[in-house]
Amino acid sequence: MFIKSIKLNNFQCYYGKSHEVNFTKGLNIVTGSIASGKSKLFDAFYWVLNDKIYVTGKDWLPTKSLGITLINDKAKFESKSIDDLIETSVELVVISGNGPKTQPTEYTITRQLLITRKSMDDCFIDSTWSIANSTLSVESIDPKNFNLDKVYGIDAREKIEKLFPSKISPYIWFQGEALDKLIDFDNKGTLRKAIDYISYVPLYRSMNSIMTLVDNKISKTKRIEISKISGDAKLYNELSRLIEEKTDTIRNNKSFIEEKTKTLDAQKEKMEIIQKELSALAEFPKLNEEKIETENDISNINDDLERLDIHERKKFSSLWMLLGTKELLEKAEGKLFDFEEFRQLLIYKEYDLPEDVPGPVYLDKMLEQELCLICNRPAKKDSDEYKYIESRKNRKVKPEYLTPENEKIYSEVSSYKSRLRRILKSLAFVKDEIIEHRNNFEEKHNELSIYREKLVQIEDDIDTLYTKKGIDISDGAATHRNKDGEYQLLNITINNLNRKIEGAKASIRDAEMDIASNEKKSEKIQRTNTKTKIIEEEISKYTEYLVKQISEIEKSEYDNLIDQIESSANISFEDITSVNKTIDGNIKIDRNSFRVLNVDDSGRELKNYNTGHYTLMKMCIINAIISLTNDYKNTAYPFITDAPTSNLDEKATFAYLESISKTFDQSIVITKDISEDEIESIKNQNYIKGLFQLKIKNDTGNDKMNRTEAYSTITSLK
Amino acid sequence: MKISKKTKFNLKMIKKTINDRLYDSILSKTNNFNDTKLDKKTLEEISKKLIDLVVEIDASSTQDSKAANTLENYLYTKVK
Repeated sequence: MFIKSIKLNNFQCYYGKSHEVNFTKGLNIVTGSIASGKSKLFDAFYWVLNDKIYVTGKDWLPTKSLGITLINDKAKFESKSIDDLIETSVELVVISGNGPKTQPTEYTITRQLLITRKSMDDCFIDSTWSIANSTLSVESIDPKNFNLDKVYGIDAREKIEKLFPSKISPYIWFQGEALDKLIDFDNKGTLRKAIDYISYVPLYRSMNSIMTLVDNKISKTKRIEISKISGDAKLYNELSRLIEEKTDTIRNNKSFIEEKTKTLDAQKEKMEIIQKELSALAEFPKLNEEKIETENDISNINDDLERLDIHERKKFSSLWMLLGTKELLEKAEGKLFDFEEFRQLLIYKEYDLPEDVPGPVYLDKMLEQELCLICNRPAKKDSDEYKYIESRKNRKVKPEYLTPENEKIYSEVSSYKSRLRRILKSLAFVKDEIIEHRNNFEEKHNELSIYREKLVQIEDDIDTLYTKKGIDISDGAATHRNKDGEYQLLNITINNLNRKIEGAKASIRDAEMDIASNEKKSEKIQRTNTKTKIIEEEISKYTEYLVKQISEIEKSEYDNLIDQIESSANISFEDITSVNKTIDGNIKIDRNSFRVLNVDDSGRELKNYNTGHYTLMKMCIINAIISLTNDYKNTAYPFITDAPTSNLDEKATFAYLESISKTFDQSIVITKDISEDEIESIKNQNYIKGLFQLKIKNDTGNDKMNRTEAYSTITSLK
Repeated sequence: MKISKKTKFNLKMIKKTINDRLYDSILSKTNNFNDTKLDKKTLEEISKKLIDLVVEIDASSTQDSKAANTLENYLYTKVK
């Protein structure tokens, strides 16, 4: 297969319809300086086949996510009225089937995108335009009867899948600067898919199936024939019946394994896709959780602050006022002390009586005799005299003015004293409490600003993620959650399938042992006629032998292929690295992890290689895969790459170009790594069959290239 | 590990068909059928027939059972 031409119409920086490149077989180089339209040309190849392009920093974006960016700016700018229609299209002409047994067929693959102006607002914004879905068609002429066949949509997609199978297309088309992103060799499935596509495992499986069918049938006939001349036909037939039964068991289990293996492979493929999706979405749940947590933290801090604020307003306003009364309260306390002192003074004064005043015993005696013993006058009970004597008796314990009313007042006053003490004691802590509260408030505010900054950072990260992936954070997190659920479910399904397959394998082993044992017993049974030749006995020797050999070849096919990829990759690697002595070692593919390693002659991994070195190793593997695909499938795929040599030095760049010119029937390399000075000299290189130069120009004569005037041009130099 | 320039030249020059490659793999596995006392020529012919049938199935989606019948008849004519 080879690419005959590509035609671009208003596609990105290519204005108008005048951009057609006719490629040749062999190595085609498209060169151009920065921003001359190289990557856009690569995008055109990819877009026409896949309806998406690779956007650096954003991943693969389908047409509908790209809006009007696919349409040339100058064309949009020149639109002057509503309902203006702009057509963007890419047409790729591919010639396929030029093998020894097939006639070449020319396929014209066209993808078209139409936009219609709906307002006279800024022509560079999406909302100014109605954007239709892109349409795809594949047109071909049958070389036998010259009938025209034109298909659209899904049918066209199927045709493209046949021309460029998706298992191999990442290797046919690759963008050097995004090599790690596009072909991730660290993902086991990447290399395995390519090997699956190249390998002859399905053919060996088919060979094995046919040979086994024949072997079973021949063996059955053989046993029928032997039983006819068997000395113990009954036993022989019984053993044959058991062998047949076990043969059926093996056949059934084999088809069970085959069926389940297909399901298992499909589930594993699904799992790999989900794993990839999960890793692409990994940032969403992380950022989403961080966002929710931080928002919760901020909300809690705000609650704390509100609580502190209410507390301050309620409590501290009263406390401040109370603090203002401190002086008055202290004065009041002083007055109470004065009052107490005065009262004590009065009590002491009461005690301070003259010497001749009779004591309580003497007074009791007077009351008992109802007679004043000082003046000898009678003092009858309840008389004024009696009461006077009685009052004299109580005067020291209860001074006269300490009446119950007075004492009640005193008790009240005393309680005020203790209350005042308590209040004053509390007032001593009010200031501390206010300072502590202020500190808490400040601390919470600081905490709040830290969390707010954190939230801003998280929201920035979320915005970056949205720009990168085009998915909203909550949608991304929800998708991740769903995908994770799917992943867990698939894991269970895969484990169950593996268990079932292992069980079937064990049944096969048991049945094989039973067959071997019964065959031994059958062989021991004497024949009545040893001269009769049974042809099936002879044939089964061949069928048994070939079944065994082909089964073993099928099992080792994978390892053989990896060996071949390694060998072929090392041929290119040796070619390219021979011009650069700083790069050494060999390429090795780890059989378990499928990682691409650089090893010394004894197989030890070399650790000192850099990015350019690693990229080169990967490119050599890619070359090997396409080269092997071409050989194995008898189909020569063209190799199309943008910026493959961006990590290589000048010598390695040319060595790489020469190497791929030998490997592929057709290759198209888009590169900036050939300077204007070098163009003349490389034109004369035999290994370069086609040379094209991209330049950016405008029709206004302005030195400054404005997006509304400038466009890319393609010139054929060889 | 590395393939010499001479070998590389040969690899490039000899364009093999799928049939050739499948047959080569059988020869390589069996050491040109030297690992058995069975008739080498018969084995070669059966292998080639089997490969033809498989490649035909691959291209035309024919059933394995139909190919098995063809091969069975072929075996009766080849093995005496």
